[in-house]
Amino acid sequence: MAVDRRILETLESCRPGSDDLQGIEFAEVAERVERDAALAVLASSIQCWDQAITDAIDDVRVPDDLGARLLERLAVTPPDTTSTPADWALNGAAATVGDRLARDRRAAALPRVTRRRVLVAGALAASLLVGLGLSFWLPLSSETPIETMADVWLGELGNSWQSMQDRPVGYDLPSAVTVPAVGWQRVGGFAGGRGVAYKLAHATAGTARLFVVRLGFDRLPLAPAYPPAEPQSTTGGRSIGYWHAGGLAYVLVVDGNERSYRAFVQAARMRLAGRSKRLAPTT
Amino acid sequence: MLKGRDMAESAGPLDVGRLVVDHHQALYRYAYRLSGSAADAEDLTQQVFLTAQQKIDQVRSADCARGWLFTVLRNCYLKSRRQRHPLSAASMDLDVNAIPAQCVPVIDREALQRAINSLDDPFKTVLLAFYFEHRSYREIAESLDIPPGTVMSRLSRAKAHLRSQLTDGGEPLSGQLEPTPIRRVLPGVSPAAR
Repeated sequence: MAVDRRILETLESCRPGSDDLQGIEFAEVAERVERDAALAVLASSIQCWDQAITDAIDDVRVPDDLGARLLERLAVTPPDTTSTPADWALNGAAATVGDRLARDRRAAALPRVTRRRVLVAGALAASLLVGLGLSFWLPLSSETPIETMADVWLGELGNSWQSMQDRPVGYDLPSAVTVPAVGWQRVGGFAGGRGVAYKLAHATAGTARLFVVRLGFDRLPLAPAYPPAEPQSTTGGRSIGYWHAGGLAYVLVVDGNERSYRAFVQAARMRLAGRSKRLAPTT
Repeated sequence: MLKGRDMAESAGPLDVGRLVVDHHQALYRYAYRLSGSAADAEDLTQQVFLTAQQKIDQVRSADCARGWLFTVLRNCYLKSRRQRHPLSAASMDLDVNAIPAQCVPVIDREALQRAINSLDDPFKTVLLAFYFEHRSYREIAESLDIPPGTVMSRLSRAKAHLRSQLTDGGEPLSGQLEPTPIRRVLPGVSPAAR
């Protein structure tokens, strides 16, 4: 039996379990299906397949804690598309508080200033001041920029690297990093990040240091799940790319500028995140 | 279990936290089907909600939030693909005639993902809008800004490809296409062609 291409495309365009075929634009095809038993079987088979695929396509396991993690990340991310993730690491918490305050002020912009509103505004201002004050005192502040963290960790490194045969447990090299590590050292608890530094060495890509640190995602807002193709930060003769996966932050430090970083990750054929360092508006 | 679509219809003020609670599972599933990777799916889902946080005022109501989020997701995905490499016009041999006579009652999830992964983006986006978003061909055309005829053509080819991958050369139905200007087996079909 020969089936006109237009008929087949029409049948394929009808959603499973819908009455799409009864639409005016498909009236002619619907009539032919009604008259032609073979066409009816074809239509039925397509619908059967479509239903099976529709059922299967929705069957994807969602990580249990995904919703909580997303909410956590959103809470520390200011609604500002013009700054980079590194800026957000620097400004995240304060900006969020500032934005909330601004929103609260706008919402409170009523014709009459009552005593209660003055008290609320005073309390909010006091909270902000306390928050800012604490940020200077607490080393665990989420405002600590990644450059500072990397500087401190690099300063802790000595010349002697431990053998990879005695590698530490719980700070494994991520699968995205295909470059072999030639040694490791522990790094201390600055900014809450306790972890391990690896020295990576590649025949053509050269060397780099990779810090594998237990850090909350709030320290690295918008960190991708894989090494970025471009460094998020280039300062002091070093380029830094970071990502976050499985509760661990990974900070790759390559000596040199952006070109050096790109050369390293490309030569090392690392699996890279598909996102640029800046998130631009999409719609 | 209550699905996001149903939950989204519940009353209450619209904020991004509520969107996360209501829709993150559906978005993650969709992102996984688009990208084929758990890490990329999480990345995409996060990106969508960040966009939502910045543009929450564009969402008119909770009822249309799901469709809006899916559109943002698709745009995020396509944008990330363009950043990685230009859209491939690689050949895709599609036998538009092969509709297996036997309906496969249980579909292998991994085989399904492999089959989706093997589609070029113009086909994949149409296919997932049809199966995942349950959009009509006209709605897909409107949302992707392409002619309805193109949607029908891409949908037909993509579905044929999917079925052939899932059945590994299953018995085709007796229904065959009449000879048309497009050959029965289409070597090197360019996604941009139609």
